[in-house]
Amino acid sequence: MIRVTINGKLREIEVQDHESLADVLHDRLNMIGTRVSCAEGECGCCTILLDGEPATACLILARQAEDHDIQTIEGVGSPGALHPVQQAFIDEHGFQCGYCTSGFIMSALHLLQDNPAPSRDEVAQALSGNMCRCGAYPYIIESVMTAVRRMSGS
Amino acid sequence: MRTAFKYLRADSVAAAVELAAEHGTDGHYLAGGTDLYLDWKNGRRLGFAIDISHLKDLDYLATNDGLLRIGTLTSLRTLEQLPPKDHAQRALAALARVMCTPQTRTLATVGGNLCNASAAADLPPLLVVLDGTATLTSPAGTRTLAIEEIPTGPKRNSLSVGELLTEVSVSLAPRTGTAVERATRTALDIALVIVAASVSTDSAGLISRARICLGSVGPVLIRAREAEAALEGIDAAAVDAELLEYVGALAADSSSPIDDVRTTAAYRRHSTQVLTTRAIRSALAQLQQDGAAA
Repeated sequence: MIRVTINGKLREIEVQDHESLADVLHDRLNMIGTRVSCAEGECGCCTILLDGEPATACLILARQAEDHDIQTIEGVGSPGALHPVQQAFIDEHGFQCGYCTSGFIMSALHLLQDNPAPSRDEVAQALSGNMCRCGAYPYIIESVMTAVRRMSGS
Repeated sequence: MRTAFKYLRADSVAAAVELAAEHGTDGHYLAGGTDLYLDWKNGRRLGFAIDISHLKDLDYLATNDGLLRIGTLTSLRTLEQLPPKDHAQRALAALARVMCTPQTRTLATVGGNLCNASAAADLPPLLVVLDGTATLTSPAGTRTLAIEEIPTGPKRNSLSVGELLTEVSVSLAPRTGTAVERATRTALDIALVIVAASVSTDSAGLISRARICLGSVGPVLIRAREAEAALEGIDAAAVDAELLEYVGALAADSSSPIDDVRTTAAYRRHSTQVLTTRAIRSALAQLQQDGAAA
């Protein structure tokens, strides 16, 4: 049993010693926005925020998450009221298959927490740990830039 | 084949080293997990994973007596955000920013990068040229080792069973410039060659201390001592392209690279010369800038 705060809610979850946080989120809690692709910390599909910092949930033992604060894509926006970054990904076609999208959005949200007016280069660097096998990178960066413009009201 | 392991959480350094002593070679300290957990996923047998990641008192940075002390659990994220207060913090931040991915930098720790003892690890060459030392703690007490003595071969380190690396400490020598150069195939790749250089001058501008350390060109870290000696006593302002090329060639002679899937020994040897030249030039340029600013 571990106690961990997920999207603001304290949860008590039964886990096995070897299970990753990504598998626990996806398979036990049905939070399927955190996706596992490479399971080796390379692709960024399972990016969550760990105490506000981006991390690949596939390389975190669920037990290590005990006492920490986790944010997943499920805690971002809602179907009726998307976060501006989510809306911008739709408007700018920031995905094709969509598998990597939630990871990209979590990385983008972390960037915008610290830097609400990033340059394109800063966006690209912040997203450098996320891979898109459809190759939608230019659209993904444009999505984040559009969200930045909308969030700053310009 | 993955075999189950038992997770053990340590809530103090004393508890961690006791657990490690109890489980011997079956016990493995788990910090960021970006190497250990991945190794387990790839089939390494773990036995017992002793989680030290909750030991907040091993996550700190402190400067005193001309030293920067770095707690073993300091993340690469913390390093990349270091303020550019001195040559060591500047070099550590610049290097951390180009290591792995933002997500891995959140998890990966200084102690883990050292103890994992990859021959291509990024931090160790820099820690060596900063005259770094490591504090090792065990139930018997503590001892101090120079950073270059930590890796003893690829994925092998000199820690005794149960010993925990608790702190890394580096020198903040005055009038010093420090730089790291690395060659990679792609931005996120591990280093094919990595060269760190640190140069200090005396009050007359003569090079009083030169340190050059090579990574990824041998089974362990290599100090290019002949290259260092060729710089010492020289007027920093008089270091020219010819001398740099000579020093780079001496460093390349110290390397003992191999051919592998990433590149060839010949490329690594050549890159050692080029990157040594660049690292020294960059360290000297910093010295000059700091001198102009002072």
